[in-house]
Amino acid sequence: MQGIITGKTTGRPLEGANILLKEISQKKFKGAATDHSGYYHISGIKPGRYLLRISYVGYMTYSDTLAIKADQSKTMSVALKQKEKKMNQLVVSAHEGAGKVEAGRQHISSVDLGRVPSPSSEGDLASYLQSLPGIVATGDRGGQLYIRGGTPSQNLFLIDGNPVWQPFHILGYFSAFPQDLVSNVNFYAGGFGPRYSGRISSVIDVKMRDGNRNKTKGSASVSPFVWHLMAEGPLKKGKSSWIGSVQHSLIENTSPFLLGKKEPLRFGSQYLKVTTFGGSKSTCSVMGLHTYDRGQMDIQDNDRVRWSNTVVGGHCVALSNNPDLLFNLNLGVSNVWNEAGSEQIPKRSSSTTLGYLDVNLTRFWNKIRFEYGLFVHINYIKYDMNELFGGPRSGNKNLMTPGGYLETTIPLWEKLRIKPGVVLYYTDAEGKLVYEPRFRFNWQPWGTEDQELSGAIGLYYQHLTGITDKSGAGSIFRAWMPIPLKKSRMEALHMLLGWHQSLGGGFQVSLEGYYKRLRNIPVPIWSTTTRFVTDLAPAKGKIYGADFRLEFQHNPFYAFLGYGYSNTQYTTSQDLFKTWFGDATEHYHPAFDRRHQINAQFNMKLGTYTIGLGWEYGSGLPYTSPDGFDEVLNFSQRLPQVNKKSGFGTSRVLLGKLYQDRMPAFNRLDFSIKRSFHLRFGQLQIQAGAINVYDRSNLFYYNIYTQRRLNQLPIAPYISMKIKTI
Amino acid sequence: MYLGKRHIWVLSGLAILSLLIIDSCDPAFNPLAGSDKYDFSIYGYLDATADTQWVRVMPVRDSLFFSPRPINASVILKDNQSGRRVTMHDSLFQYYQHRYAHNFWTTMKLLPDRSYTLIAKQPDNPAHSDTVKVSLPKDYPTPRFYKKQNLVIIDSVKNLVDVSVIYHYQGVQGNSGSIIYPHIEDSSRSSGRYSVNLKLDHDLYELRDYQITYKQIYVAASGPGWPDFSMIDKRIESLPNGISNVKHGVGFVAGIISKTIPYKTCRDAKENVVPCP
Repeated sequence: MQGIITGKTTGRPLEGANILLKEISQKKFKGAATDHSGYYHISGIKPGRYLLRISYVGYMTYSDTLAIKADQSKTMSVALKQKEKKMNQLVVSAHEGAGKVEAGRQHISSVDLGRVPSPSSEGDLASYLQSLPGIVATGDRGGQLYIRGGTPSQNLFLIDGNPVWQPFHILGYFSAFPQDLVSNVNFYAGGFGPRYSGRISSVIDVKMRDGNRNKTKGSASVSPFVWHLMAEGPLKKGKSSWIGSVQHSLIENTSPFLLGKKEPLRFGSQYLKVTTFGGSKSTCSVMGLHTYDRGQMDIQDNDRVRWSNTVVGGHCVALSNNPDLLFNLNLGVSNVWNEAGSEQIPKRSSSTTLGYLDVNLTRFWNKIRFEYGLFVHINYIKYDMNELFGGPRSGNKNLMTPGGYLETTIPLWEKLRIKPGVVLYYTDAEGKLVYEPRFRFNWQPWGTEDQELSGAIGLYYQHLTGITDKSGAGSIFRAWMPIPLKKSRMEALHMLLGWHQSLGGGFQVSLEGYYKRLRNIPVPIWSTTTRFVTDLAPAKGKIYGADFRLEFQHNPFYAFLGYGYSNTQYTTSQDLFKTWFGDATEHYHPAFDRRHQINAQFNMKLGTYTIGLGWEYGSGLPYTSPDGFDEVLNFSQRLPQVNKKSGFGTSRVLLGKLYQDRMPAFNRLDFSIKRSFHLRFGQLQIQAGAINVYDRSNLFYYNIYTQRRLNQLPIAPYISMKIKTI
Repeated sequence: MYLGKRHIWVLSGLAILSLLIIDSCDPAFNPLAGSDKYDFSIYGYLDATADTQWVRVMPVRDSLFFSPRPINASVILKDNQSGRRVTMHDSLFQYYQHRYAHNFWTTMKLLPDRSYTLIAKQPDNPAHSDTVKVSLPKDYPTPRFYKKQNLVIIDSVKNLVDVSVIYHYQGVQGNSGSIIYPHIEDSSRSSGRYSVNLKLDHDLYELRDYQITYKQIYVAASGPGWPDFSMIDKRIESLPNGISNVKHGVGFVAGIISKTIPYKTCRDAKENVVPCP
């Protein structure tokens, strides 16, 4: 017996729904839980009459009686009806929440996104991820996330299975994934299975909501930072739906009034998804996403950065009865375009287009689950670095990667599940077959989800890299290109082991340790005079750390405390180092190596009010301190005439050893209070709050060449409003 | 579990207060605090044939030098053989807008094949003192020039460090000046003799709109310790200690003997090419 469990209104697959099959004449049970596609499968059912119960937190339980004959294969897909929510009722599920992590994986629901105070009327995935331990955001500008020591270009973002390159907006609270559009997210901080390939750090697999197939609805919101319109409804009632959204920043216009100075940041995104529901056996959707970001990190510097994503893709899920099979297909094109420089003269640009076809199949043999698939990815990469000198200046390249993967889930002694798998592909970049073995497991020693030991080990390769400015964390221009080193792939070995414990009374706790071994990571070649360097050298790396999470959910409270310890070290050998530092090999902690991080969230409902607090502490990030400044004179062509006009020389920063010093610690408190009003046609929600309540001058970026420091946003009070129809 | 509204407010208040207490102060951030690895940046050369010696001495400082300010430096030139010391004169130069530097000068007569020491120190803090030992080369014969072949012959020189052509011009509005083009790359060495086959096409193309009144050839040879720039990576050259010969500081000071000859061939009575007087 198999099927897909969805929500009746939205059609979204419900992950973690419980399916219980009880034989009526006896007291025997069989059960299963749905996966991320809402798919379940129960095998080895004897002929007879059964009572079927399907339950999911926040939804009405579905019950039915079934007669199952011998050698019969049955498909039972059910759309569960959502319980009527009392106003502001908090719906929680054992499968949701930041307190539960299983081998690097966290399931994030749209409810989770709304818990983090955000300077708009709704939550956003970008704000939420920054509230988790192990994730370093270098500031509230730039949209860069460093996950467990991985760099932003090593993260894989998927939107309904379609890759998107840089979905986080330049103002770090916002992304192409606002709460209203997101159904759920599978977030792998490491140790991900073979279904995902092409990146070596993490996977953020976002499932977007389908439009309402029965009723047309909409919402509009505005805050000093952003406005957002969203609408959805049926195309053919009950059969197909659409959902569309437009989001645009306001901060550039409001910042002089709100923050006391202009923040030259602009961003926006447009999204449309059309879904057809083919009865209980198939769902297909087509989506389009466009994002645009533009900004200056330093207002005194003429250089600005722009980037844009365009994704057009299709996604189909279908069930087959003979054999029992879940079929999943993704097809589309995803482009990112980056540019940096002054308005008149762009200095650097990069454009990358990925065409992809992914076919994924899921089937069972006895109790063993097989997930396998084939894919073809074709990348067209174009880049142009208009620099004075450097390595790869400009070029274009096609890279084709056909391949396949297999992951099995084998239950052993009911309490242990092991998931060995492998991804195998041919890559143009190397001209050969490459395979990446992966292994995940989870063990529930007492047979319940309340206690679970989970772990993963896997090998990961990446053939494309995003080259950024060497000045490190403050830089956001990223040029995608094939790895311009002797070895054309980055390599990471992940190992992680964690324990999750439900403590009762609404508490759950998890602790996960991780180790990553990195090879062939391209790092900039260091010099004293260039600011953007595209000469690269390979580095080895090791990352180790641990994330601790404690979560409490009990109406009217929600609280979360996270602590992350991380240590990232790179080792690189460069020609200059011998002369510069006396040793050709340098060990250093890169610019995003945050050693300690504490995140705390607190939400409370008081009648019609919801209060939210978010606090984050991060220990200082490394930077290379200068030993001083001077002007260097050149003797190689002719003797410098210091007393002549030509004898000034070139300004030079005398840099010390790499990243030996650390910036001050980061510390921010955000606050919000929200109230909802019921209107005749819908709901009005008003939120007031402030980010950086302390008004602390958190350092975002320090330019050692100009000695200008750029702080993160000062205290930013805001009032936002949202109206939605019901 | 039952919590009254009063308890809830108290709990919330305590939570907010504890977060505010933890740390809301702005920490100081001064990336250059305590950095005293280098004292001075010293660049230039000492030339035994020059009337005046010019050397750039600037403190290694905490910022780029965008406006003039006192630099707290005194510079002494010492003859290592005789022990004679002179204090060099400080002179502030403006090169471009907001670009300044201090150059130190003296008219002390320098002799070939002698060594000198430049000492830069902070008068109020003698512990901060940088020194450069500069050795001047032996004198060498004035180079000969074969105009027909554009060939300069330089004998008895160990390190040829500069060969340039100086173009003196007269502007249409009566202004005049000179432009210098380096030609060290045109030189080659064999049997202890340097030959410089001057390739002037590029210079003449660039100067096509100038009225050149006369040309000179400038040649300089250095003493020991001259780095082989043809073998040194540009990035190494720019490192603080890449080519530095300044003790406790950064920079490079060369000891040279220069010769400037007219762009013409001089011959003796037997029509042999000889150095021009």
